[in-house]
Amino acid sequence: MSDHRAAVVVADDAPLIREGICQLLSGAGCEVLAAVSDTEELAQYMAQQPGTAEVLVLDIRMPPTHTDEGIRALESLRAQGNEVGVLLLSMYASPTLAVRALAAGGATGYLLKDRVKDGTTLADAVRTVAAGGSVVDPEVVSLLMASRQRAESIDRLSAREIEVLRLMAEGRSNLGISRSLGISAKTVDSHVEHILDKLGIQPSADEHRRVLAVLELLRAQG
Amino acid sequence: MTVRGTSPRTLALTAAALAAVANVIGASLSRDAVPYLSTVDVLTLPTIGLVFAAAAAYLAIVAPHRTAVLAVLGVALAAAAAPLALGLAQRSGLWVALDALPVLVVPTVALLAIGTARGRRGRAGRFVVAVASALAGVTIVVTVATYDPGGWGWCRCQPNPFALTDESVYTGLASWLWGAQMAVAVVAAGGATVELIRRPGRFGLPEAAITAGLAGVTGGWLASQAQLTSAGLLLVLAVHLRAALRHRPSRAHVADLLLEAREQHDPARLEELVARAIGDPAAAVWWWDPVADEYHRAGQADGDRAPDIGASPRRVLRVDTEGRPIALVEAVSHDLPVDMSVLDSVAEALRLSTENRRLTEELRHSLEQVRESRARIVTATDEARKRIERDLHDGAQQLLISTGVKLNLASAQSQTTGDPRLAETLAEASSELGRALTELRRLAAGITPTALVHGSLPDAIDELAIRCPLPVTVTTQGVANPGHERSATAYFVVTECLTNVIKHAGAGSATVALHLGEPLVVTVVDDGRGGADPAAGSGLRGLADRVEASGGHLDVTSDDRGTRVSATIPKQARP
Repeated sequence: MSDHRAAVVVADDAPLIREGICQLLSGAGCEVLAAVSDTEELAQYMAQQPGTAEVLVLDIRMPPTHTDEGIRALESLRAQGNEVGVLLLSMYASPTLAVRALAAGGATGYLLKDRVKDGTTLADAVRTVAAGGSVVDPEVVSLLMASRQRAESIDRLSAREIEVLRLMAEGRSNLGISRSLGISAKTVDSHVEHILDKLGIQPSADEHRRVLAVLELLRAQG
Repeated sequence: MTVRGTSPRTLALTAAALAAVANVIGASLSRDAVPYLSTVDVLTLPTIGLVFAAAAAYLAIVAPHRTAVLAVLGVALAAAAAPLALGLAQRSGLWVALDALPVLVVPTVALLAIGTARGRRGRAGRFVVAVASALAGVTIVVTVATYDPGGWGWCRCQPNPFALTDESVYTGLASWLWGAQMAVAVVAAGGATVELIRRPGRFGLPEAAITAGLAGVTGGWLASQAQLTSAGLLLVLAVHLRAALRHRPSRAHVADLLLEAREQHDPARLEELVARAIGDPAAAVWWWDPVADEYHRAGQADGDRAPDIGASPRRVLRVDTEGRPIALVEAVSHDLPVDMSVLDSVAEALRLSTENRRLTEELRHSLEQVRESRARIVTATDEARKRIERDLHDGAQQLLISTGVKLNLASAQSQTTGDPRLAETLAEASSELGRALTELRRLAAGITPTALVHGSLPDAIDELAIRCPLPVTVTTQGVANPGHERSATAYFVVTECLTNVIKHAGAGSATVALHLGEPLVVTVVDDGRGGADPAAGSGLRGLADRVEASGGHLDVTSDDRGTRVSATIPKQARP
């Protein structure tokens, strides 16, 4: 993780949570540029201050319909070619939403709202997304791993490789994975290569391939 | 309607028998009186008379239309008149009167012709025939009063007791009388023919045959060709019999009417059946419309008017029930049948049909109300669930998370103050809060299908399958979007079924088959021990209620090889 102060805009219609997120992120060394209560205000900010935000932290459910405004905002940003990092906060651990979020492309994260209370998880996720990485909530990942319906390509992975993929999905870097599993960074590198190989993902920019691997994991459920 | 006993029929049969006897006597007497005439000439008219007498008797029994029976009887009697006159000439002075009667044959047969053809009768035809008949009556009276060949020694025959004048008067009148007889024939036949042609509808084969028959009768009459007249008479009679038999009231048709009246209320179809039952192809059925307070007919044209309630009961049958009007049956081509059982049955059929329609409409209305109220209950429940979920999300969850944030900040502060016990307590509190949040999330997700809020039905069902501890295979066919309400119903079906599979079935695996089409079909099958019974548990019963409220149905089959629950949810016509 970099020590750079990530510039963040927070959008959540619940004022208590919005303030909490701002406090936490400020406390964790992020720069909160603005806190807005719906996607309309967000769009206004983005139009007035283009290019200032590095990461948008968006509640998925916001006015007016309280359904999937956050994801729609993400999709419309990507459709406009805006590659700003987006971290979505969801009330529910939904694989469907996670796939939709990651399928939008770019640096994208999907996190349960509960994580807001664990300051470091949220701040880490913001930093990962700021650095161009992607994050999927551990609960969604466990749900997917626990499911017995796994596509063949995932079945070909060894137990250790699945563990590594799971941590990749959570947005850990190779270094983070090596620390978490207590193995050398070099071993992690080779596991990651094997995973990408077995999933048939062609060599390209590292972060992009990692996202594809995670997507593969998510889509294996569909 | 009029009450008709058997007396008109008895009268008609008696008259027919008399006519037959008269013809036989006439034939016999004339054979004796004029042995020099050929058998054919002598027997032609009595034979026609016998045929008409038989036809009159037959019609009186099977198709008793007064005018027609009278006309046929009239021809039968008129045919007997000439042979009787010939045979009685030397025995009774009545022979002159008898001899004058046959002038009535053409008007009578014209009346029969008018009564035979299709369509509504005009007044003009009847009027012309009436004028001709009156003229015939005048010639008869004048002849009887002035003609007495026996008295004047013109022949060896009985004098006419009714003669009032001497020979010279008759000589002066003779050519006028002959002209009047010719005029009677021409006017009656011409009037009937014009009437036949003017009537609305097709001038078909029966009309052509009648016209030809009339022409034959008239031509034969004018040219004194008995054979031609006879052929014409037989032709008109044949066409009339054919039409009368085809249109006679029939019990079979009445039975058809009763059967169909019980099952449906299609005014046009019922009118057709009533027309068949009463033997009048042009009959009209006017239904009472309580809203408009008047009678209506299916396909009623602008100029059409319902007949007066006070119209002749021979023409109009009024059907009421408990004082409320139901319908009027209007006979058009000829009078209503005299057979009371036919008319009673027709009236009963119309009552039945109206009553059935009323009951059916009431039932449909009640069912619609029940269905709407069930649907409202489901919608209200869904709304309530959504509201509770929203409240949890906006209220409890928000408070818990913000408390978590504060705990987190406190924890960070405690680290700077360096109190390890405080930090520990705060960490515990944070962890408990996490469990509370997880519990809250589980609760909220169970209340309403949140997966449906964000994703499609197949996505939501996939998520259910992923969360299920058993292996669940999901197959999806079709791509139609069933809409939110149907999706929610299908989702609840799968949730409830998978819950049952986990709790009760002891199954190794389950499959969910989703058919996204019209109708939407979702089927959940497990390989458990069976025993699912919608009547026993409230879960499946509630599910069936919900599916039925959407106008669909739930099928459950359960045995020791497993349980299969299938919900079919049609596209809704909900207002």
